[in-house]
Amino acid sequence: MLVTKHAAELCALLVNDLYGELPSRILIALLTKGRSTILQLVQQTSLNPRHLRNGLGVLFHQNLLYARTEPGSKTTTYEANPDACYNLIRSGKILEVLEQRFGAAERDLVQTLMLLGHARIQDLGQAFSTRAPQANGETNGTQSMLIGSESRLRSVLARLLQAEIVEAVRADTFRNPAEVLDEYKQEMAKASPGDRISNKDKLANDEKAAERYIAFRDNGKAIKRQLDQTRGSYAKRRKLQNGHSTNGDHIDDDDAPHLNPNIIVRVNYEKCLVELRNHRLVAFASDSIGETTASVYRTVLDLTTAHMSRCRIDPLAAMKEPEPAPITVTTLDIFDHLDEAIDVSRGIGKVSGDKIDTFRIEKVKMEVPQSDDESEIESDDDGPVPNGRSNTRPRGNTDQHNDEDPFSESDNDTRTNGERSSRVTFDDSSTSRTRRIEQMRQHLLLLKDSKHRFIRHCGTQGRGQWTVDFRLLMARFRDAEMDAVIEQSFGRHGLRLTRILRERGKLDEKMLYSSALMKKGDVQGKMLAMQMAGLVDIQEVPRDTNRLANRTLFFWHFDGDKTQAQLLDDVYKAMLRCMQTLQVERHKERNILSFVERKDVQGKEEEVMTAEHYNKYNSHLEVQDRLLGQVMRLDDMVSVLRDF
Amino acid sequence: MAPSAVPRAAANASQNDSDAAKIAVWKQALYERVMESGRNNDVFTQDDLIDLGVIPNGDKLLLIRVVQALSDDKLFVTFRDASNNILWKWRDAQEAHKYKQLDDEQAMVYSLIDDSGGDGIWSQTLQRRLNMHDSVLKTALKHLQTKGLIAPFKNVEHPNKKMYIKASIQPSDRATGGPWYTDQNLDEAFIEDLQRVVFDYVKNQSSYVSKHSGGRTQTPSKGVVKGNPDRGKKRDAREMNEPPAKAVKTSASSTPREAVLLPLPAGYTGYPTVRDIARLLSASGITNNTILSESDVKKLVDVLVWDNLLEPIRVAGKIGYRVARVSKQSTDVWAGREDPTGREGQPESYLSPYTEAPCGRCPVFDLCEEGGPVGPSNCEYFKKWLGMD
Ligand code: SF4
Repeated sequence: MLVTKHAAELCALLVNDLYGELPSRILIALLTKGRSTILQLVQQTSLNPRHLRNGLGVLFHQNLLYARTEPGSKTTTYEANPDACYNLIRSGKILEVLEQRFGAAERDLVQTLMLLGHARIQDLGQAFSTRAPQANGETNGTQSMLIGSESRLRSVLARLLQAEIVEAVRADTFRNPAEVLDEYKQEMAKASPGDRISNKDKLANDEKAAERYIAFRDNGKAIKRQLDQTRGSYAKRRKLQNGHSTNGDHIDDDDAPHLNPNIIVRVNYEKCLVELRNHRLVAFASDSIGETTASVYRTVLDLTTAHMSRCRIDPLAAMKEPEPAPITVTTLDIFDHLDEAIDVSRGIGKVSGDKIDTFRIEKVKMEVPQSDDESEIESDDDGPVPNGRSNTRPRGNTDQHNDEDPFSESDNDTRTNGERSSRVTFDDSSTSRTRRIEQMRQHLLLLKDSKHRFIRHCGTQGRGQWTVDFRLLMARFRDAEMDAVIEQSFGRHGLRLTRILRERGKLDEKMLYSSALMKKGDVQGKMLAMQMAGLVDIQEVPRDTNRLANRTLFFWHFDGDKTQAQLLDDVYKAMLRCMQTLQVERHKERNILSFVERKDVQGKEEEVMTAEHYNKYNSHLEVQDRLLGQVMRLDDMVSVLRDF
Repeated sequence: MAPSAVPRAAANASQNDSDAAKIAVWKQALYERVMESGRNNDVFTQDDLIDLGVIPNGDKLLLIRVVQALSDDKLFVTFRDASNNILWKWRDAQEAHKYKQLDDEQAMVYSLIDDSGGDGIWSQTLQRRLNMHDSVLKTALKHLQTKGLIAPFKNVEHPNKKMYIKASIQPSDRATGGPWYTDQNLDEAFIEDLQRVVFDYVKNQSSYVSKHSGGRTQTPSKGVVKGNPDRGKKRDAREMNEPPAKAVKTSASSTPREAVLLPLPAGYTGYPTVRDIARLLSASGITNNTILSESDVKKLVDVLVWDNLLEPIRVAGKIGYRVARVSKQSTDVWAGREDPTGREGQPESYLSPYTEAPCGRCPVFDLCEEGGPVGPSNCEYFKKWLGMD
């Protein structure tokens, strides 16, 4: 994470909000000064060492720091971990997604771990056992009951460890990974002495270092591998439990594995981001195609990312770990994991079968597309499609239920659904399965056919194989986010002009306004406004050496990367302002807020407070919801622009 | 044709009478043969002219004299090609007559303007090419203009340049901007209207109207999907001019479920192509007498694609178009809505959370600092947004 001023302020504010001012002050010092020792921190923050140690302790416990002790000296240096700080904002979102994906017990466990930062498994057991019998009337009580026993805890934890949501912590987990890699590189260099190291040797050394780094990084997953071996992989287990998998309520305590109580665990945010990304992509698909299709997509994503540890390739390990081969799933696989409650017959319009070009939609693309050129539609290589093949396709949900021409359907529009459905209930289950698979396939094809190309049809086994090209898909998603901002800031015309520049590259003004069907003056005005905002820039190309203005060509161009970077920082700033506004509001209502924090007031606010205060309190809560909701939605953008 | 003008010119030649008369005959014969043999812009080499068989025995000297006489009468235009061969082109007698009224400077100016055709020519270009004194050029232009031979006009590609065009011809499409321009001005209202009609048409043709909410899960018994509750009516293309919104609206208001649009199945071949759209526009009569070519319509559609309102999709070897974010679009029509604030029927685009929050739309965003003159602690925009003003 590139720490800009606004990002740093935002991190500090988040830490302040959750853990108080002391850790926040230390964090600011670390973010601005970089790696520091305690002594240096004392000077910078003018805190006394005892306070400072307390604050560092809090930060350390919440995994917000990198720490390192030089082997020779006894001093420890500290460094802020801005990614971890930023992730604090996502806690709520992560918990929600985990509950949907795994269940309430898993959510509860992760929530507890988030509060503790990191914890020994034994202590975790204690945390739950002391909480369980309390049942203090709040939702808390019922929730703790989800993990009522030691064995239940172990089985839930095992599941999370296998899914990589939780990882084991070792002493060196707290080191900055970039630094670890550097150190390995240095060691390698030392090991091969000599004044001149050939390029080949250097490359080999770097590769070895990267290899060691990967081993270091994946060390925390040793437990997962062990569990996978003894219990079968997570995906397989889910398959066995199909049908209930989404509820997560099933009790499988019987096979609770043995876990070393001394192992320390924490939440693995990298993997949580993979889950968040799936969630976002589902929402994106829902927005661009429809809900039913999106829920089929959800299953595709769950399956393709089950073994994906992180959203983007780890740049530090890139040398030894290039882009992984795409994970493919078959139609049947997807079908077996699809939530039975999803009615796949919905969400797609009906047309008569002879209006479908089966040949083209079934086309398989084995290769990962190299780039994301929009011209793909044009360059499609198949040329004209042979006619007369369209009718060979098994008819899907488009017209399976009613073989009559849907165009003539209007005349019996008055019939109710009940009558229609009674007609088909007598289907025996095997044909209904076949039909359901075919209906689901229609959604898959729709995902493939979208302009965002949510999935790629990459093989024919198992009634079709599918994969997701995440890197390209996310690039398109980022463009969509950027387009929305441009459109809402500079209007449809602004969007149009930037899209033209993106598609055609550099253009002079004349080309621009004749393509955009806009007035010259309007184009100039828009371009100027966008230039001020840093979206577009102008380049001068002199036609001769005199560099006279009238002998110079002016070309506009659009810098997507720069715009995205700028946008990201602007979003940080907007988030920061939302949080600051919340603080201002809290300060305004501090009397009421401190009143409701009293133990004897909590839970019966309405009774104890005067009507006026109670109303004020309520409207403050509304304001808070609104602001925090906005921050969450802004974070969605940060995720797409930066992390996914 | 004015053949009577020919002998007069021939008489000027200081030859004996019979010679001049012969030349005059050949002149006319050659001119007529050249006109018959070719279209307007055919060029002739010396050999071509001989081959026409007008000049007896292929007599080159005679040919040269005849051609010279025709050139004097401005009926032939002489020029050279890239490899320096002399070529001739014939000129309409009426045009020739115009040239003959002009002095040398005027003729040079006029001929450049003539050559520039429907695109016209910039006065500065004239000056540069002819290397004339400014005042000479000005008088020549003035003279030509009072004679009604040339006219100043505006080329939309160079709206600020002083351009001239031959008075007798229509400016080219490029110069007028084609169908998008009315009186040299981009007709934005016309374009916007057309865009709406195209959007409505493509939306209509690329979606399926379902009267049932789009697809939240029902609780099925034992996972067997029963029936197909989705039913709707695919609207016909013919309906597009009579707003279907009415029918949809009344039925929607009688039931709590709003009609929604659903995507069509993958591989659908009926997505409208540029040709379909062009046909629709010309049939609809909305283009009032302006003829839109397919490439004009393509421009219009391209713009809608850049606006993220339509997206191209390959259908059966052609490019068809479908509406973007189909399930989010309204079933109402967009065209013909007067009220710009009534958002009904307008395309729905993806809203960014950034521009939703006050800061994303803030005019003083760059200045805003905590503790500064504008900042979160005294922000009016946030107050308004939170409904606290
Ligand atoms: S806090 Fe207010 S003044 Fe500052 S950027 Fe946001 S909207 Fe603008």
